[in-house]
Amino acid sequence: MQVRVDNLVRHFGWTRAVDGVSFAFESGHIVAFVGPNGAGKTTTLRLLATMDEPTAGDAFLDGISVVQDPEKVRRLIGFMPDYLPGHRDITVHEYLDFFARSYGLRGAQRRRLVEEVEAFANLEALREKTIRALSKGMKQRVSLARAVVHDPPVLLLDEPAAGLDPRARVELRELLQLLAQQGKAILVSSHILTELSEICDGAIIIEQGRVVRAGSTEELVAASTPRRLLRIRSLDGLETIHKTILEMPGVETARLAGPYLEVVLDGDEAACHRLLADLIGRGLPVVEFSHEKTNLETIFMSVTKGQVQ
Amino acid sequence: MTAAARVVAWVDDRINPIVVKELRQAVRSRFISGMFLFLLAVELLSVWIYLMVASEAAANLEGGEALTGWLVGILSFACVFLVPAYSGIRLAWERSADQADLMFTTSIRAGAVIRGKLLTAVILIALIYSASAPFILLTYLLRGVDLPTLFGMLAVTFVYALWASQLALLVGAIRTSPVAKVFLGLIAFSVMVAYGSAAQAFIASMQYGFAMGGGGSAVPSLWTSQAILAGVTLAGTGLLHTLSVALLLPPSANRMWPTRVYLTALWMVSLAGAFLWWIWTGGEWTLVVWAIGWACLLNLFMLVAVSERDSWGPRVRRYIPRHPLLRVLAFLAYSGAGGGLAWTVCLSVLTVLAVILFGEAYALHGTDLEESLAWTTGILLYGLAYGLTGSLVRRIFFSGRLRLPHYYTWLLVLAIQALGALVPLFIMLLIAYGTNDWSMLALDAWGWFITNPAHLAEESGRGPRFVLLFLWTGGVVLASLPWFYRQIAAFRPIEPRLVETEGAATHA
Repeated sequence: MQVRVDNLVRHFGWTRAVDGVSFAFESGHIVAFVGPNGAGKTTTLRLLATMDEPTAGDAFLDGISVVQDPEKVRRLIGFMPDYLPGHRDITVHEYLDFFARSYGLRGAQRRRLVEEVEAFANLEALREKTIRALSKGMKQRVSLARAVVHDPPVLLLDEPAAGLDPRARVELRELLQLLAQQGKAILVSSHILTELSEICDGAIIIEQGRVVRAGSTEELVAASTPRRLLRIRSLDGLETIHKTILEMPGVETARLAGPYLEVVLDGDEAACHRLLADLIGRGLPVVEFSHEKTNLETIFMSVTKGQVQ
Repeated sequence: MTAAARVVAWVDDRINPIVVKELRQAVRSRFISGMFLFLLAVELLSVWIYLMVASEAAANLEGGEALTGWLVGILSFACVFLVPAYSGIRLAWERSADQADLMFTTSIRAGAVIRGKLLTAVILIALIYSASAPFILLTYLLRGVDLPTLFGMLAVTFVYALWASQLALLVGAIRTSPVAKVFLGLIAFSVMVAYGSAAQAFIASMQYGFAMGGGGSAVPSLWTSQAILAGVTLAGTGLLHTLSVALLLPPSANRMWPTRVYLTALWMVSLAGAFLWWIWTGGEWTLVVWAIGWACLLNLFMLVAVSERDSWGPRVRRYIPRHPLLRVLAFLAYSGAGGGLAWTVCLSVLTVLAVILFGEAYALHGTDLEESLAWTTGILLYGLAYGLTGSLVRRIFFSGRLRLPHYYTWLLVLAIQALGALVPLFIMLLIAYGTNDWSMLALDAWGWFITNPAHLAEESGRGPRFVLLFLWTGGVVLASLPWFYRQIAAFRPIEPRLVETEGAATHA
């Protein structure tokens, strides 16, 4: 399943909430959809979930148009909004059963799928509890279970980790990874970038309704950090390495910092590999060679300005 | 699996999911449990007190009559007020908490949501009926009431409760602030009470032959008048149903299509019904009520039409037929200001034509029908003139920096209408004050200000005033023609498009 968003536009009066957004992602991948508040993330997700109609542009799920065939698209999408279920007088099991029925699931298939999502989201012990009586983390799990109850190939999750404690976040992360392993295409909007960094294969960064950066994690890192800060430690003194490394191609600066030599290299991971191979080839006793990792948060901070419309 | 289990499973799979959810929630609801207990307690107490206190009445073989009235009153209160209030408040809460939005990410349709809610209300009403059945049966044993009357009262109450439930769902479906919902709920409650009172007055007047001056053969029996009322109430329930579905649909959907189709069908059926009634009873008042009733209803839908959007999104355009004739019909029935106005004008013209044709064909000159023609035409012309004027004012003055969204056009129309009605009165009041000639305030003196619809009541000089009204309407119609033409030109089916454009999107 491929999700392709093609020049999506949504205006609210004079406000351009979404202004020509284009991106694509595929099955088995978790893609982070990040941006400051008011960037247009929720509006884009609502458009993809067929809850709103774009002013212009379209999105396609394996060629099925969100605008022209919303009924078909709804069966393919599981949407988890940024608000929690608030039903009173209904148990977790009844809630999930209701949505399974609403997707047209019948008989044994419906019962099996509801039981499976209850087991998947670890809700078996809570199935007879009313939703109102649940904690926020439990409600989030119910909301995720509801989104996957009809086994959709695409998941759109809007701030799924908001307000969760660290344990619940770890659990959510594991659930998402499990869903990606099952072959689902997952688009996750979140502010908690450190959580996403570890599980996402790619990211779409949006600001003021426009995509400012998109791609796989490697591509984003490469694009945002053409220079790398390397840390090198040697078995004996660092002076020899210091002198040698400054003559090597791509090395911009090198300075001693405690037991390490900090080197700024203009190049990608292949350049790092070449530099290390060169040092070893010259017989220098390198025992530690690492570079500072760039995470999603760093990229996000470097490409966005925090502006809202 | 046994055959019975298979049947149960088959039925279970086909029940509207909303009904399943709502009934599960009703079972747990304290309000529903409390209402049932309260109802049973009051009924039990009523019967006990009546039998203890009014022992003479119980012995005179007419005791059932008074007790029936009391018990049906309690039953009506629960079915007509409490159940609709429960249904309406639940839907209103779901709408405010965005839960209904989530339903629209599933395969469930807006129509199924409203049908499910209404069916749940019907089931609750049926439960209240069954709970009250033993007490009401007791009244029959006390004598003084016959079974047909008893069943007739229960049937009328049921139809009224159905209508009230649908009205409550309509109010609940409106997406607005909680304060506004409370206000709308109070209006709905007033409408319920007013309609109930009007229905009782109608039955009483029909029973005693005071209806619209009709007498003799025009007077229907109690059962016939109740059947008419039930028919009208059910027709109204259907209209409220289509409107509730329209409110639940997203703005981008083809919201008005079911309502316009329903109203067109209702227009034809009601015309046939009014005509047959007239043939049967000989009283032309049914045609008069039909014509003026439809003029008022079409005026209301004129307000709706001018407040609709001027353009169609892909979700409507994908259903526009390619065949020219079908496209014309679709233009009239689909959501959209131009089509809505055209549909209202078509039905308005047909309504006036129907009255003229009946009058000519059956020589009904000098009757109430002839007078109703002036009223019908006047009401429809005012609706069109004010509607188009408001729409024109919005497009000219409120589409730039000072922008009024199309869905508020009805407010602008009402404001212009209020100005048109009140300004002449104030002018004449000033003149009368200045000249000390208070006869200036008589209707015939200021009726020449054609902006005030009140002059329809004044028969003298009606002809020239209608000419002015026609000129005003014609003027705004002419001024709106370019906009209308643009609407027709834009009403085209969506073209198939190539979906896969390599390089159009960025892969994540």
